[in-house]
Amino acid sequence: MQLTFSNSGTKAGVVFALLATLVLSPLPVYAQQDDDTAAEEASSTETPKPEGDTSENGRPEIPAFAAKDQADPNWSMPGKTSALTRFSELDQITPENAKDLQVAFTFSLGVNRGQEAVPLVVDGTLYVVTSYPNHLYALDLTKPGAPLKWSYTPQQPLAAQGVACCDVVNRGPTFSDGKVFFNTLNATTVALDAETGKELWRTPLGKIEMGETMTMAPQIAGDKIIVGNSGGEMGVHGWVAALDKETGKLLWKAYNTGPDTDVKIGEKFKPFYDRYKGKDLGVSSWPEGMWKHGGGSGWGWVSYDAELNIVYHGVSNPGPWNASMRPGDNLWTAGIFARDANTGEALWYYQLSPHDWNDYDAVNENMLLDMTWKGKKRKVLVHPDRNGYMYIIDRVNGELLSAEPYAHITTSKGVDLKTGEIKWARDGEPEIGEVVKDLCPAAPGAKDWQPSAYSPKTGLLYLPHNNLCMDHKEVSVGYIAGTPYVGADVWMKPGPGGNRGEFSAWDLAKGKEVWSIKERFPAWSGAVVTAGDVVFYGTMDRWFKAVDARNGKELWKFKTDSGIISQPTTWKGPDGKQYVAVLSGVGGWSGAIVAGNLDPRDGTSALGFVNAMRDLPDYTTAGGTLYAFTLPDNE
Amino acid sequence: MKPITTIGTALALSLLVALPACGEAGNDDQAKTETKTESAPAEKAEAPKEAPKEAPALQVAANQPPAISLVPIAPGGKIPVDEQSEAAKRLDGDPAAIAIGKQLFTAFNCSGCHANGGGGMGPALMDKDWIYGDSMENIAASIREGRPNGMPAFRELVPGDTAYQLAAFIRSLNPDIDKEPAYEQE
Ligand code: HEC
Repeated sequence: MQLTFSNSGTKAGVVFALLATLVLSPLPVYAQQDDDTAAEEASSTETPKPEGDTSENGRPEIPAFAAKDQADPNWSMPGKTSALTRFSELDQITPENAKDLQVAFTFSLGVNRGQEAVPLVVDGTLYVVTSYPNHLYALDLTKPGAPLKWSYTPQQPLAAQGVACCDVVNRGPTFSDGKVFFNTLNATTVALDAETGKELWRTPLGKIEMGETMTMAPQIAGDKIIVGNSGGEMGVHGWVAALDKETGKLLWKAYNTGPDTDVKIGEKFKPFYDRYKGKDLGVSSWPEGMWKHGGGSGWGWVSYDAELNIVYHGVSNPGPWNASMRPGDNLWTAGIFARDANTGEALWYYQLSPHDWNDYDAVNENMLLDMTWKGKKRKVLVHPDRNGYMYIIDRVNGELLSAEPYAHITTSKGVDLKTGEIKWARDGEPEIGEVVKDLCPAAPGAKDWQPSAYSPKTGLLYLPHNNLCMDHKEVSVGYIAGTPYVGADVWMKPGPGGNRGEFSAWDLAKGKEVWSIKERFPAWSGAVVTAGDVVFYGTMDRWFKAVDARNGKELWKFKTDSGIISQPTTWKGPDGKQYVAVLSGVGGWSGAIVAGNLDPRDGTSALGFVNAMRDLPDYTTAGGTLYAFTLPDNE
Repeated sequence: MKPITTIGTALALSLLVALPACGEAGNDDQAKTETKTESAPAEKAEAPKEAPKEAPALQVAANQPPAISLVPIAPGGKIPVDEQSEAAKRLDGDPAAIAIGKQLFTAFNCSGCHANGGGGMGPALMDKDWIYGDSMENIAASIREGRPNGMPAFRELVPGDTAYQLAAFIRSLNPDIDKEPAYEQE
């Protein structure tokens, strides 16, 4: 691991940053040396203030509708708030005492596949869901050692495992009104009584025979729960749906490709850009009928603006990956929808990767923040996309405000802020059998699903991400329901500098990176930031880390039993102490080589990820353990 | 942009055309059988007699592939059933069969789940670990019948030699496949 400070005031820091720029990275961002004020010792409690060239942009604030959840000492939903901010007001753990963190308790999840879920805590009970077979465990935090309170395992066919594109993961439950909600791999949403674990309802929503699974964490939107399917690699007909929280009844289901009626595009649809206006574009932007198995699934994060009553969700890549087979923009894939939470009707749409040719799903988190942009108050949506740009979009009207590169990009040459269009760096489709080399970012993107966190104290977005490029060859593919619809051989490799991952802090007002920690493997865990100015994240080589939110200085780390690809959370226990919890258990797409015991001699394994991860088995074995940490009693 | 037709091999295209028909026929038959069973249980006994007429896909089963065990052990130290059909023996290691099998492996989207043998959604097929056996008949059975943890049953798509051609290709990925470590005796 190497750490670079762009704002370090020490001579060594400057030299190191310059060295890093010259030797390790083609990105100029490490050399930015704009102020000395933030170069305090780690013990300083002063917060760097955004200053300099873009004074018109204010530090983003967490919207008022999220204030109550933000202040909650519990962690009751995956994103902490429905704005997906992942900021907790707890401040017992600080840069000064983080070094004393200790294990409080552990719990074996009993499943050795990738654990991407989020441990939730509500009033003395911890809820955690495992990868397939999706056990849900409730632990009693009021008793010593946090014993098991109840557990629940859904009935589902073994065969569901075969159609999960990227390990049999689950990204967590969510909690509301005394109920725990989660999705099971066989595309079913389940609600349990949080006190007893009794099943209240279960609603099957998709068919594994058609390649549909569900891995995403549901989002509560008032009296509804919003879910979506996975299967962008299986040629599914992607959708997002709302269920009644009380009964599980399907209230609306909006498809992400096809005729306007299926997509719920009607009178309310007012996209900012004209190219999204027209009848049935979800049909006409595809070759004859291909939208029917064109992917566009809804497996990512959903956010909810309770004041506007709008749901925001991304849409996955189009299928097949072979882009030559589907001339056109392939709407409404690889974009973001704003929908009326009551009816599912589309309000606006913005496409991040038209005619996607690199598997750039647009399903990463849409974080909802309020900020002054060029002197004007705006309700915005922040979206670090797989295509490598940090998008800031007006979430009321869908207007693109900013799209700055946060990673190494060769597939495009920027985004035109006037038209909102990405400038792809290629002309036409590749020849048959041609291996197109060095496409960056690779298929999992500059950043995949691993969610970022935002601190209103520092104005920084904490961004776990990837540094991967790929070689890509299109191969022919025919659609056979329930089998992969990919049509590409991919070989991924480390990006410039050789570090495959990175954990960085991004100044949203200035649109640039402030500090960055290089990681050996893709930084595939989520991030958490606290009012104590401590950021937590985990690595695939088994470190769980606490770093200083202001300058990225490492404060503490702990070696877990298996690599970390889950979402850490922080909460106040019944004893009044602040805890941090995380799941170990390597796997997911990036860790498939270990979780699925794949053969490293074939670089195209796991859709090409194995080519970049051949050495992962030297650093971690499979596992699955919940860890909770806290400070010693005397602190 | 190229027209779509140039992308698929002739093989893949013929598959695409054939598939929906196959699927529909299968579903219809199923539907018919089901209705019958539900509405008139008395007719149950007669169903097998009629089945071949109505469901041509079932005739593959009538060919009766040879008996094959999944494991090398049997009680009493006996050797488990391990019959290899004529087709299996003929096509194992046959370069022409391997070449066709390689094309089928892509055309049936096996490669989507097993990559080029290293695995992904499904297990690696080029390594020495076999859950359901590594003989031609074992592999052909995996392909025809599917396997519980998510290997689809390709029965209708792999009539005649097809399953064996795929099996020959898969076995060719690992040249050491039949090499057993020698049994040491004092
Ligand atoms: C949808 C994904 C998928 C597709 C498509 C698929 N497989 Fe599989 N395959 C699997 C899974 C998952 C298993 C493991 C099943 C189990 O453990 O029960 C498997 C198992 C197998 C096995 C047994 C391996 C062993 O260790 O015994 C063979 C052989 C095999 N597949 C061959 C094929 C061939 C040939 C095709 C194409 C005709 C194919 N598969 C298509 C997912 C798939």
